[in-house]
Amino acid sequence: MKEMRNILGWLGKTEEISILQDAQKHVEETYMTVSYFSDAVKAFIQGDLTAKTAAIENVRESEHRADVLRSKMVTELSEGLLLPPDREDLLHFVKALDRIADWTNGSARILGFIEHKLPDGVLKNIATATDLILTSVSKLKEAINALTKNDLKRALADCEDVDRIEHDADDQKKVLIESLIHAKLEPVTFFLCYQLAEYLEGVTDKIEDAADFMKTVAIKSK
Amino acid sequence: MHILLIALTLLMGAAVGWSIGANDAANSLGTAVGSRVLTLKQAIILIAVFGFLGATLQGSHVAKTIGRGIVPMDQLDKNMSLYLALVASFAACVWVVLATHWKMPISTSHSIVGAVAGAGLAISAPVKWKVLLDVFMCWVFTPIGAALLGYVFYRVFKNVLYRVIPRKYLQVTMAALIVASGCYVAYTWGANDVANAVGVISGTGVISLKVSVILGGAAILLGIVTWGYKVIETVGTQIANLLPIMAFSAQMASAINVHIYTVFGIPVSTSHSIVGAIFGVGLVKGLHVLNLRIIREIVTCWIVTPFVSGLISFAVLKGLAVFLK
Repeated sequence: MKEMRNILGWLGKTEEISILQDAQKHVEETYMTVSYFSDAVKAFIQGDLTAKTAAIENVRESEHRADVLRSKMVTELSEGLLLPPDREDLLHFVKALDRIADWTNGSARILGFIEHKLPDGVLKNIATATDLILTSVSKLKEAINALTKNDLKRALADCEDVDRIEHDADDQKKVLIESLIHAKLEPVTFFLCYQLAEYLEGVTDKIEDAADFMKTVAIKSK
Repeated sequence: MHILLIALTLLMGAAVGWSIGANDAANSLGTAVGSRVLTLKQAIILIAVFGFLGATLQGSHVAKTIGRGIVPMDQLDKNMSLYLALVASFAACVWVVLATHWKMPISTSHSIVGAVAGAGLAISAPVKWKVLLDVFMCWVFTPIGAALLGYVFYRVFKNVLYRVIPRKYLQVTMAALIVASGCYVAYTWGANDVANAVGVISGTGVISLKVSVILGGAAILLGIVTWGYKVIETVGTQIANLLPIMAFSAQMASAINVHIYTVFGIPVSTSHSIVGAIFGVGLVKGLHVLNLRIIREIVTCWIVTPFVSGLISFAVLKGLAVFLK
């Protein structure tokens, strides 16, 4: 497709750019979802339950907005007379983006169930895991910005950073679970915290999946 | 010097012809490949045959307009007309390459017409503004006419074909209609676009119209077989998402539209015609084909192209005149 001047090819590429611009909006909304979750974690650490509940509600609403954007992109990818040439990769990418917001919402839901104050060591590890998610989604946001500006080198470098952060998140999950084991929590709280640890690591996994699909789109448009 | 000028002009024309064959072949039978009515090899053979037939049988109409209709090159000094032909081909070629690099959807027809007029102005040749105005008007009506025809054809064919053709023959009939209309698109494309490659060289009179369109047809053919197949595959299998009856309606609309202009010797954008036709077909179903931003980009390229290629040829020929003095 490179250097193709055919009008239908050009129109297909224009559709692809339009989808990527929508994906950019989606990533920004996903970033907001993660930011609200981070606020919820901060409020939880400070013991401010009202602020925590409000932030969890914000996560839910933001996830819903991301879902609406996802539906619009899927419609654009399947309807119309002229479609983007890499639509299968784009469809996987769009779905991967949506899963980030889904899993963040899942994490927020679990956080909502935890009512007891947790030991400082556990809270510190939850905060670190949340920061990793926020950094990772920022990198994904930068990557898609670079991709829409056709700066493929930068986009690929940002995706590499996402991969690296995912490894850090894996290690952080291990540290968090270790701190949970040593915290001697009640069974219900332990179970919820363990689930939260799984979900937090899951969010970075989903961000990595999205970055992988973005790499495919970037490499194909080279 | 003559031989060198002729060789260079032919080379430029061949490059334009190659680019047309490489990029625009997909507009005719891409959908037939995408819907697996034809294999890629069969499609290439048909496009090459019908494109070449169009170029050689009816290509001279538009070639006359580009060669003599905009600037009467046959009335100019032989050397001067050769320089004009070379510079116009060069300017069109440069703009096509730049636009391809910048990913702009430009038309080769618009580029060559602008380049010929620009070169004519540079040497103070009598540019036929009336013809240019007619050509510009036709450029406006090309996508509109195709869209209207596409809309009407799809409405009619959708209601008639499904009722007239027995169900068991429907698939095979539609396949035949898609191939036939695609061949017609290839024919009219060859007939209208070959002039972009060789119109100016035929205008100088160094080779006859007949020979020039055969050479142009050969350059287009080379473009189809060396690069066009990649574009056909991509457009047909990945981009164009048309139902068989939609593809048939759009192809018929585009081919008839371009054929009318070809008979009158007007160089038009075959790409604008097919996009207009697809847009018209899409309108029936209320589907979005082009949004306002896309239309704006296409129109901008449409307006910019003749002026930029004209400016390039004007500047190059003026510069060449200073150098030659």
